[in-house]
Amino acid sequence: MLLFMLATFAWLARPPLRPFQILKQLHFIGFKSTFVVVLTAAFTGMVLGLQIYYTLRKFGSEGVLGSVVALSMIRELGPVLAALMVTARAGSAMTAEIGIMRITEQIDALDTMAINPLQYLIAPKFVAGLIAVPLLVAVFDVVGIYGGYVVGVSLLGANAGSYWSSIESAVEWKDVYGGIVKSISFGLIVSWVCCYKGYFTRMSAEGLGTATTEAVVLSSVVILVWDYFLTSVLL
Amino acid sequence: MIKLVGVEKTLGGQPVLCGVDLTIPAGKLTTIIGRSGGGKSVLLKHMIGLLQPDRGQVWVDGIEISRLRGKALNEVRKRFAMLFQGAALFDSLTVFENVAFPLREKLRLADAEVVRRVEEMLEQVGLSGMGHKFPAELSGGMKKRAGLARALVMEPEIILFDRGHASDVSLHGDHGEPRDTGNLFHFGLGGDAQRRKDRGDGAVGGIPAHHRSGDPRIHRHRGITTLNHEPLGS
Repeated sequence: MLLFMLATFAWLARPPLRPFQILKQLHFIGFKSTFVVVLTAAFTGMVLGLQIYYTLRKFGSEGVLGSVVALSMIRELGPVLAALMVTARAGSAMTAEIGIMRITEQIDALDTMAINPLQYLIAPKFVAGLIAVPLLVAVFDVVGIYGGYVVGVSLLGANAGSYWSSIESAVEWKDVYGGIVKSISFGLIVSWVCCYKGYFTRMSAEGLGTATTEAVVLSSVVILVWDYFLTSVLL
Repeated sequence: MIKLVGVEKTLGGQPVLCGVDLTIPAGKLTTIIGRSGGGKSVLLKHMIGLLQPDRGQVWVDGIEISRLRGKALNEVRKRFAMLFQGAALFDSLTVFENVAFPLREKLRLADAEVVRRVEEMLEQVGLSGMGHKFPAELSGGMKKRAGLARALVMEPEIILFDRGHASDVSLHGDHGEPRDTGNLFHFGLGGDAQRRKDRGDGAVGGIPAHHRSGDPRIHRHRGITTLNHEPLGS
């Protein structure tokens, strides 16, 4: 599996670069995932606002609501949840698409035309994953923080000024940097695991079903485990 | 000339090819027939390096391809075209883009030249005006013909036809009359055949079904039967 990734990167480095393919994948992985990411982010932020507001009120410190919401979004929830949503939406589709191409011999057809399938098919998805996931995470963070604002401030009546000022004072560059590192590595994990599972699918409809399931499960698990290790290193 | 020497291949624990020795002469149409599951497709895939033999050698005009990788293998593959059982059209591309695909990827041609060659090819296989359709919108037989167009558009020296079962004689002419395999080949090559013959190029057909009359040289070897014809339509 590691070899698969290394080979893809090796092919990525060779011309021709395929800007059209990369754009197409960016559109699919990135743009088309925006809606579901915004939706998830809004509700995650709102539920955080709700939970944390009531917890903080016990200690009389509703003023730091903004910083708690923002830090949990930027450090953890943004990268992890956005990556999981991309896995579910785009990753499963990637596995199914590549798997079908394998089963219907479209990948063999590329080979017979002396076109490397890793370069033509897989590499653009890797690039798109690396670019799209961090951008989606940024969207997730912003929408989530606004979600927390809507519930905490507009609905429950926390102070608007302290919501924003606590964010400003608590969030450091280090937190943002950690979030970016996480989201880039998660983007790689999604396209890596999902492309691998599709590329080496067994040659049947059942095999393709299994491959898609395995891709989503494995990719999600790897994201969560990798998240723990990264966090322990970054903190 | 393609030559297989003692090719053995086991797939999923099942021995598929058990020491196949086979010579396919240049400039002839060679048909391989055998029962289903007999390893005809696997045999063809060895000739173009999609599968590597466990033991034995595959020679294409004096080059042993079974151990080749990367660039060297691609050089050999450029001389081939292969029509797959299910046509293997790229379903994210239209018929036109499918046929244009090898031209655009492998040759630096002006757009007008690509369009001209693709239109000409589509007309030869009876699909003119169908270029904008996606493979999913085509019938099985039309897919096959589009696949044929894609295989022939590069004017390869060697063509491998992987025809699954006798039942897919689904290629019809413009007026709906069924065409048999021989006609298919004639149909596909059209006016090109003469030029191809003048160049002394070979054509290999893996057409495992009924064969046409004539004077085929029949060769049987371990469950695999090959017939050599003169190319049709020449």
